[in-house]
Amino acid sequence: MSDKKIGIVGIGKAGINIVSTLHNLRQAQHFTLMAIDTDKESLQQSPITETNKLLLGNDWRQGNGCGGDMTAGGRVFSHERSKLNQFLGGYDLLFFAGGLGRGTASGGVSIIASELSKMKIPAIFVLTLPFVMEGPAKNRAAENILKSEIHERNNVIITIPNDLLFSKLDSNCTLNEAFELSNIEVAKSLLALALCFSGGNLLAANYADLLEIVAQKKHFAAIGIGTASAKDGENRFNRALEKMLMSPLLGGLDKLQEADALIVSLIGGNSLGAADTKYLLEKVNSFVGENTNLAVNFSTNEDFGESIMLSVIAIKFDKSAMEDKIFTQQIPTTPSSKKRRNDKDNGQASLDLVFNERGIFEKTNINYHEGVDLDIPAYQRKNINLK
Amino acid sequence: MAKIRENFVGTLDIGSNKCCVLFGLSRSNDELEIIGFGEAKSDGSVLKGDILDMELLMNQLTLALNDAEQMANISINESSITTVNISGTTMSFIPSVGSVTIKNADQRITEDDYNEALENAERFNMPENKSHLGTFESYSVINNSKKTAAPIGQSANKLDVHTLLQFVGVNELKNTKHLMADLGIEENNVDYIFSGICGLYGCLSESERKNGSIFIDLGAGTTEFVVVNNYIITAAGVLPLGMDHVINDLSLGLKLPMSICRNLVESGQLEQLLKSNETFWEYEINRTKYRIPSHTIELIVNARLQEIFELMKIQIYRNNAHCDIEAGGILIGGGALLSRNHEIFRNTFDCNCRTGRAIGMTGNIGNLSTPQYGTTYGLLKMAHAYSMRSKLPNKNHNPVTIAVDKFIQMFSKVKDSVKL
Repeated sequence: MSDKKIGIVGIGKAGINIVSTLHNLRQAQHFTLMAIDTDKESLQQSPITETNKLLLGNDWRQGNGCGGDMTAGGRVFSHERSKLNQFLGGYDLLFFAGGLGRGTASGGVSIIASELSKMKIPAIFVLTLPFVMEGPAKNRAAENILKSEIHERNNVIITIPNDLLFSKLDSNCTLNEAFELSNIEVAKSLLALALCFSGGNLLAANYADLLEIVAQKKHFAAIGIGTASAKDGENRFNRALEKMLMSPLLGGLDKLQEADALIVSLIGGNSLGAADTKYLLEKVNSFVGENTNLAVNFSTNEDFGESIMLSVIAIKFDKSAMEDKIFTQQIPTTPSSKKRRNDKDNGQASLDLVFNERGIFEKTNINYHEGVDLDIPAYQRKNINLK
Repeated sequence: MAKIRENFVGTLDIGSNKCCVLFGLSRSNDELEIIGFGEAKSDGSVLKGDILDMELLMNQLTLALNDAEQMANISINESSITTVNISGTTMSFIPSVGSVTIKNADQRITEDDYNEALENAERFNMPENKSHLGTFESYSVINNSKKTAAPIGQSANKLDVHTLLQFVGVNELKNTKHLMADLGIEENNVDYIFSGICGLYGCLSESERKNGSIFIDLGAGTTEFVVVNNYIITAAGVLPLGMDHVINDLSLGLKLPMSICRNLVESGQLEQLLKSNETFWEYEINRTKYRIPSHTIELIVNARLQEIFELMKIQIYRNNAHCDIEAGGILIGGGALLSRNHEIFRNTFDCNCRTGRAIGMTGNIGNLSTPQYGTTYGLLKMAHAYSMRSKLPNKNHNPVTIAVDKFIQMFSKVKDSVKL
């Protein structure tokens, strides 16, 4: 394992459930497992170490969560930026798990992405999209977050639709079991990613490769994990491949064939050889299309012993979103707008857009004095620079 | 619990930060003895002086009433509370002049002439949704030239009486009355008095009332101010700004929760920070320490406080009342504890300023002598004064009643008008 300080953070209840699943895995012990939530109970129930838990908005949410309100979640995170910076600072790489569609993760993801951009800490977000059966409101909320500026930041966002599980779920499976399965699969994916980027010593994929693949492009991801142990003997590589192809969150072989990009990672013990990796890589290549962009990572980890883990992240770009982007880029610029852009070169300061907030007076009558709302902070109305 | 005595007086003070109940006993030597006090946080039920949550406010007032009853060892009845403060963003003061031609044979101004002029001043186009709460009689002008405080008996052809009409929102007044009814208090027995007047009555000395001063109650939700000169109110007003705005500005500017900013202001840390030369303000959340430059905090606080005093100055100048401030300024309310407010007052009005405290308080005082309770004490003192005035014999010649009258007479119209 490299010396990088890597953290795996669960945001909100869904994210914390995923990261808590990792708590019992031996391979996850090299990573710092952390949890961020607005719900005190959710944090208390997690087996994650107390010092690695962060309760936000306790002063005005009283630890009761955001009630599924994304706006409230966003507001909590906005107010607690300094706390977030303290909590997340000092890491070389961070992985985040969260479920989109409700309050904390939905509201907090873009704020976290923004702060990490400022701190120049690379991050990979693995976010689940709600089951369709959870209702149109949740699904719409999740879509809206993906349409927001989150993709503009230099972070990797991998979104996994929970509905992929239905391709493999037993018909008698209960709802709890469905969620539990989702947690386990996403947890394994996170671990595979973390192991993948913690330092491949045979063939390394790095963060920049992943960023290059997914940056600023709306996409959907499918993840396949296959593990095999010593008892599978010489057949362990085929066994791992088979299990990977059967993974619930992969959604079948079609996903590999249709993928625009593929991130493949193989981790084994010290006995893992180049011949084995070549064999597996050829096998995986046989399933993918000609134009699929491939990033690979092969590494050894003595914790694995005779076991191996093969993970694949298949990424499919959302073509309609990409066409919109191309269209907007083709709008011709007028000479005056070109001139405005050049003003930056003359060293003129830019005026940051400031949203006039009224804080605690938001829901009270506006008291105008000569057309001015007196509840808006005086320093804002007088353009006093606080920096 | 003991029975309520005949000389018992009680008051309610409803504010944006806290609500207080104060009980006292009127002594025959004009002393007022405090016997019971109760206080409860408004907890968001009142904001900018306006009632937002009746039920919550009821609960808080009930708590305060219970505490006061326990301390005084009495149980009040529906006629125990006789004064309640009234303020809020719907309160306005409009100067008005009433004129009358003197028609008597001897051309001397009579009391009837004066009253007619006063009635004419009150025939004002009332603002929409507002209720006339009272009239402050300012001064009179005889024959468009001579200014006098006592026109009766003087020769004149024409008399102009200058007044300050006090209006309050109809719904806001109704809300306060409904609150009294819900608390089991006989609303018709209660005098609803402008907070500024109460504080002024409780905390200003005789010389300050006579020589001219600005009285300012810089509270949490609103700032009330009254300019008094020679026992006459020449200007008054309510600004919908208070220390809650300072705290809100800090919260938004520093991106901190309101509770931390409120603690910064209310615990005295802000006062210490502004006085000291410390570069940073350090605070702790969950055992993690954070630092904010003091200069940033100062910029935010100064911007708001200066605005409050500037707005006050504009209103006072509009009423031409700025010439009446000889004795300086008196500051009460939570804002009085911040010395920065005193500095800004001095810079704005170019005269000195002191912290107002209750004058003549005896009995179970506790913290009541601090400036935050100036209005509460003033309310009780007014209740005591009304009670004394009605009970003392030979009231026209009794030196005590004359002293009381000197101040009370300017709100005699107020007292009558509010008993709707």
